[in-house]
Amino acid sequence: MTPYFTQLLVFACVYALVAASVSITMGSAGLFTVSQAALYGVGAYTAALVEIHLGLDFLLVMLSSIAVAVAISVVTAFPALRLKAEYLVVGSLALQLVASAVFSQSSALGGADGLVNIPVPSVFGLAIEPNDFWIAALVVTAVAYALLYVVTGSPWGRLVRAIRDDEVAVAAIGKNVVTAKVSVIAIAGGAAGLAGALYACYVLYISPDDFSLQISVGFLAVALIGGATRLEGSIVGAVLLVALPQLLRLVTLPPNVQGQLQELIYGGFLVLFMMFRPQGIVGDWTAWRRARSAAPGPALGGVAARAPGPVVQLAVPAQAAGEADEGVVARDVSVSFGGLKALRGASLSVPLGTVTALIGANGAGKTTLVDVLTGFVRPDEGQVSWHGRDVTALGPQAMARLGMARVFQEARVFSGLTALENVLVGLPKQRREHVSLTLDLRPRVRRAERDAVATAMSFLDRVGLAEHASATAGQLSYGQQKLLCIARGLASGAQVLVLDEPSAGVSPVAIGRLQKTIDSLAADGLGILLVEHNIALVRNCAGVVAFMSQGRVTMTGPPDEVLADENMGREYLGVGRHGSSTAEGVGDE
Amino acid sequence: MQATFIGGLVSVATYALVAVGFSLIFSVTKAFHFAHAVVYVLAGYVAYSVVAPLGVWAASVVGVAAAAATAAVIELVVYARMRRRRASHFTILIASLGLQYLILGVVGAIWGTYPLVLANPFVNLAPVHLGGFTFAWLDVFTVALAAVLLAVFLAWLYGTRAGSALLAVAENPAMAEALGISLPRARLTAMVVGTALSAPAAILGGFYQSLSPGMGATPLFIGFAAVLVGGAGSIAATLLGVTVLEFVSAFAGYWLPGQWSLAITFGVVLAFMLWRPRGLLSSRRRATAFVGQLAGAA
Repeated sequence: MTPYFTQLLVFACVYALVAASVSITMGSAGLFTVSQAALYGVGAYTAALVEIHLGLDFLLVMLSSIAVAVAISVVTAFPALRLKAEYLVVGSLALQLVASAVFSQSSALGGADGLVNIPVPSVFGLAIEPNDFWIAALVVTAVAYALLYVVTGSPWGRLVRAIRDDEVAVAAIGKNVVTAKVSVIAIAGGAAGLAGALYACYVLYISPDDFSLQISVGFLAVALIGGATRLEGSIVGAVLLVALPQLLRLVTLPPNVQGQLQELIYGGFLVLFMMFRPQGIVGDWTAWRRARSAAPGPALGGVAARAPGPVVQLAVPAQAAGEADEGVVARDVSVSFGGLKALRGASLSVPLGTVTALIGANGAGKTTLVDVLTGFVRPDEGQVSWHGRDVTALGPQAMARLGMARVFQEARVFSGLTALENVLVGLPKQRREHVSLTLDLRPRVRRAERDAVATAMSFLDRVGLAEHASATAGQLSYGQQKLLCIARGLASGAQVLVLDEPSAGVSPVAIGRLQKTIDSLAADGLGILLVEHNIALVRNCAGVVAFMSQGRVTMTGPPDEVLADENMGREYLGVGRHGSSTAEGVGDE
Repeated sequence: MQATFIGGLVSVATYALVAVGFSLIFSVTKAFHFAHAVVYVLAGYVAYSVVAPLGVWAASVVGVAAAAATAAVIELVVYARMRRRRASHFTILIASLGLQYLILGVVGAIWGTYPLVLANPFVNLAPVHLGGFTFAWLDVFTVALAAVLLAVFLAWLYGTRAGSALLAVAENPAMAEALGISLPRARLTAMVVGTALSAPAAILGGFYQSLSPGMGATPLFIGFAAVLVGGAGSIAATLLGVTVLEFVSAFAGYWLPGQWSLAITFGVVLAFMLWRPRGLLSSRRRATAFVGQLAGAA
């Protein structure tokens, strides 16, 4: 192949690999970083130094580049990942700028001149001449992409996309968010490092300018224009953005414009795409496809929708059904936010096999009490126990693993995942959910995954959503989204299900469906805490009603008794002498 | 050492203009307006092009107006349209990165990428001695201009109806809209005012050294870092953040090669993030006080 085409092909491979790194961080995990060029540079400098000083085999050169890039990306991102999203941007910006400074200042790296005379790489003693390098680049890129497909298509990849859609909801079903994010950063760093090794071993001369912040923006453009939500978008973007400047070379442009071609094309396309097609070229075409044919889209990324499995396994202990198991209990809990006392010694018990309704005016402390029971807020005073064991100190993930599932008021589905995938994310103990095990493709593991799909289908069926299994969760109706959250909670191994205002914003038909689901779950032995304003629903479902006022549970009893109480009526419903209640409590809602 | 101190003071003055302008845009529009880094620099380039016929002062005014007009066009043509299509902050940030890249290309195509020098109008004036320090006239002018511009800006922000509207939008857009404040107009105002406030920094930069397309990148990073170090949502906090960071950077530059100072500045930012994630002047107390007032009013 001519040197000209070899160069285009190698550059397309290099761009595709760095863009894949962007695609995984931004498209899959929703993390925004601007340090791709730095990590690509780390890979390139590592490869150059290993080649120059150690003269190792090309395979080992690539492995060292990957290792160093992974190490640096994880060490620098770890502190920022524990904080808010903005800090990851700053952290990655810092990494990029520090790396640029090191590349251009360090004499061991050749300073501003860079490293020249990098030896031609060799595999098993055979030298790869620059003109033949396209073969090596294609093979390496193909292998890397194959691995990335397996990894991102695994339960780990699904978990990562769920984190992108709603981090809090992922923590609420007992999954570790930080570990998953760190592994995303590691994989992305490795891909960028590998690209750097390819680049250095091909051009045999590297300088700090090849790895600047502007180059990072260029890689963002490659990935996003192609489409960051799918890996193949990176290939499309890389090919397009390597080819386009070449095509424009055929047209005679004024020299000053010619010199700025890269900025004008990448920048211009990036703006236009973000304005008119933010999902990129290969992004979601379902709307377009649906317009062309009435047939439903292909099912679920390779796994066909299955008939529901025969039995729904709820996580309730067998002997608990029917018995008065105490489930989760809060005793005398108090919580203050600054000067506001949201809870002042509230007590509530949610036994298994019963629907316990929690009612009270806005600001009475209902949401804070739910936060305490599910581990999101740690009480200043008081105790939370689980089957008699003290669990006051546990966070949301640990509580979820015990068997507390929370359905948030604002239906927090993973909107970019299908309904079935939403439930699959909820299932505990999935082997390939851990990143280091994603390549475990033994038949036994694959079979377990097929069984998981059947289990998830049965949970969907339980809430009446089986026929919507392959629908994108964000496109379901609000009522369906709430039912989906219940199915996800059940899948996570719930013994106690906390429903925070399930009927709010839901159509009457869907409320009927909701009521049937709640009744049948309680009948099967699940403990349900229903936080609700819809008195009709409370009257129809609840076995016990607890009334909250000013941070305390002031009354507990059968629905008829509590709902008929005069004090309750006056304080909550505003019926009675005082008319509307004012200044009654300070809000947590 | 003295030169370092004066250098620090001057860069605090110019960077403060960029940082406060960016901070205003960030807090009102909630968009990470990355392109600010090159839009405000346009003031320097346009001034350079018209300085021969108009003279330096009129050219500067034209330059600032051109930069502000560009910001208005970006808001109306790109950001406002994207918001109407319900684009996320994330998408707008990436579009802004693209704009920055695109405008860099345009500047490079029109004016070239080589540094251009704006003649320093104070070059023939004798230096001023003040409290043991010797200031060049340009130093005095820069610090005084920045102080006056910031004072006028703060008076406008806190003293006028238009300014209060921006503060309300920054605090709670939904509430501000419910009270009859037009969000599109508030965002446009923030873009224009923020850019106009930052733009003189580009012209001063041209007087000190030279104009280059990428000259706005570092001040923008420092500005963004200052918003984080100082604590989001307060102009005073942003100013404090810039002061801390710029003196760290100036003195780091005194002992180490130039490129390291930016790295060290970001090291400081990272340290702050770990030590005090809410910023130097944490806004938690203010938030609590605000909720308290609401509760009291209810």
